[in-house]
Amino acid sequence: MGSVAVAVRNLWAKYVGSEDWVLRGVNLEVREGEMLVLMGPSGCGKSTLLKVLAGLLPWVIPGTVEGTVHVAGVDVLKAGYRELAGKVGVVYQNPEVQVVTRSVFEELAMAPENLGLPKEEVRARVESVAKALRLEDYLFKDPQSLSGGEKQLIAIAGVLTMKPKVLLLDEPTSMLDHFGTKLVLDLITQLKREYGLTIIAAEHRVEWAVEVADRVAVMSDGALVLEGTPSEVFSRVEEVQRYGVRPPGVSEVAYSLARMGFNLKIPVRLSEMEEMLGGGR
Amino acid sequence: MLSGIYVEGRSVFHSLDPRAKLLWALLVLAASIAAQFNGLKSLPVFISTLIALSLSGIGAGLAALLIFNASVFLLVTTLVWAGMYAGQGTPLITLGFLRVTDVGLLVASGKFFLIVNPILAFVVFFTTTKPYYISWTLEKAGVPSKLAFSFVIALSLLPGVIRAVRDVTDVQKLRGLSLDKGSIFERLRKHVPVIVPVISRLLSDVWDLSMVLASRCFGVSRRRTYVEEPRWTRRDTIFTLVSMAFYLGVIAWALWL
Repeated sequence: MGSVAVAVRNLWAKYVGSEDWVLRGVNLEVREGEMLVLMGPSGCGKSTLLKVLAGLLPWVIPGTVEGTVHVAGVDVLKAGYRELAGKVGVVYQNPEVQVVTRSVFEELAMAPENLGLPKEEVRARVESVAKALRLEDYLFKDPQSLSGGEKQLIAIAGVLTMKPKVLLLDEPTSMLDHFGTKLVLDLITQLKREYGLTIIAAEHRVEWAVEVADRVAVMSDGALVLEGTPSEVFSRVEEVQRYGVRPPGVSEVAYSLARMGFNLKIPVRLSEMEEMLGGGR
Repeated sequence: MLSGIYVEGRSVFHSLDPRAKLLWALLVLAASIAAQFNGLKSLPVFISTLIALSLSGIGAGLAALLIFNASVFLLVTTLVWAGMYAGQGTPLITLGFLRVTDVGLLVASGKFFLIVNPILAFVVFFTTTKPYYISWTLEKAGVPSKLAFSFVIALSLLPGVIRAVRDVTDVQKLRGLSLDKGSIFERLRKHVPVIVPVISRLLSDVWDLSMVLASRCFGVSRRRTYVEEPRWTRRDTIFTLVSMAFYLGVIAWALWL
């Protein structure tokens, strides 16, 4: 992993009108090319943390934020979200709201156009992202005719044309069906493995997270309560469950067996379980 | 989301440069203002907008709806303005207390065309111009980038409002809300469970949209790049010259002849 891409120190945040802090003393560091998956029950502060990292809170959404936040070399709380333009890409839950234009080409061109880049540069970026994500056939389609999963792919492609250093994903599959979820998760996996993008994703699909994430962070009541590699975090089954996160199925099974007296290590991936059981194939 | 009221098509109007169409719509507005006290002088402008409507390829359904609504509006304006000018000119029809004179009829039709002509012209403009090009046209006309795009966004939310009203009405009807029974006041009161969720949903959508736009660098650069730009052709020049000759002629006729 490279140098630090995201550094958060003692972060406290709350929205205007809320009495309690939504984020309470969060400390976090993500290195370049690393993928961190944020997990935790609804309302634990995952989305708020992503909004602070994107510079939206407190610069676009009114609120109070204390602490220090550095993203892609920008002191977010001092410089404001405009300084992050083009450096951070954000993808939200609802694909319907994120796809805003009449053609996929326009959608992909929108952010670099807003940055005022030369036409040739905008065109080159659109073509390169479309090629990389195999979206060439979609370019002149109306996004409104696409499925939820396809729209979310277009939304992700739309932020990638900014060539962001950090990609923030706020539960990008929570409003998608099984097929759409697979499309989006495969794409994120591809971005991580082939392009080495720094990714911070709030996501509930734990089986996917343990396969792809370099690190997992569990949040509860605005605080970061567990952090480490997927194996480090999910081997603590009881603790993870207590914070409202469901561990991978294999970890739950192994944990139940361990409680029944079997002497075994808690696996987090199916492949580890297979190995423990002596192969299978 | 930002599809607006644009209707995909390959009509004559679709192929024109948006600047030529905008200038045409503004000429229609100017001519309608100039001829607002004489419906006879505004009639050629109305006919021209009907021709434009038929050349815009927006579909017979939408055109029929516009013309039907316009006829209802004509009846109302005639009653109001003819009533106000009942004491001037030669009486043509007397219906009880209402006396329609030739002057009253000319003013009423002029006022009718003052409202209807620009509406039809801008409907043609917006239904045949992609929102992307509307924003581009406004910027070319000197409107700041942020304002031009915000205007397109506001315009584009209209179909969303209609969709939201339809969805919420259907849901409330399924819950037993009967909107077509009772007195006018009762019916208005019954619309509260429709209006409140629609506003709430729209506010939520607009909020989400503002987050998305902020994340996509909206307003970061003072001048936005447009990869696709319409090209001004000879056809646009001819269309503009013919439009200027025609509408400036109407304006001169209305004001000085």
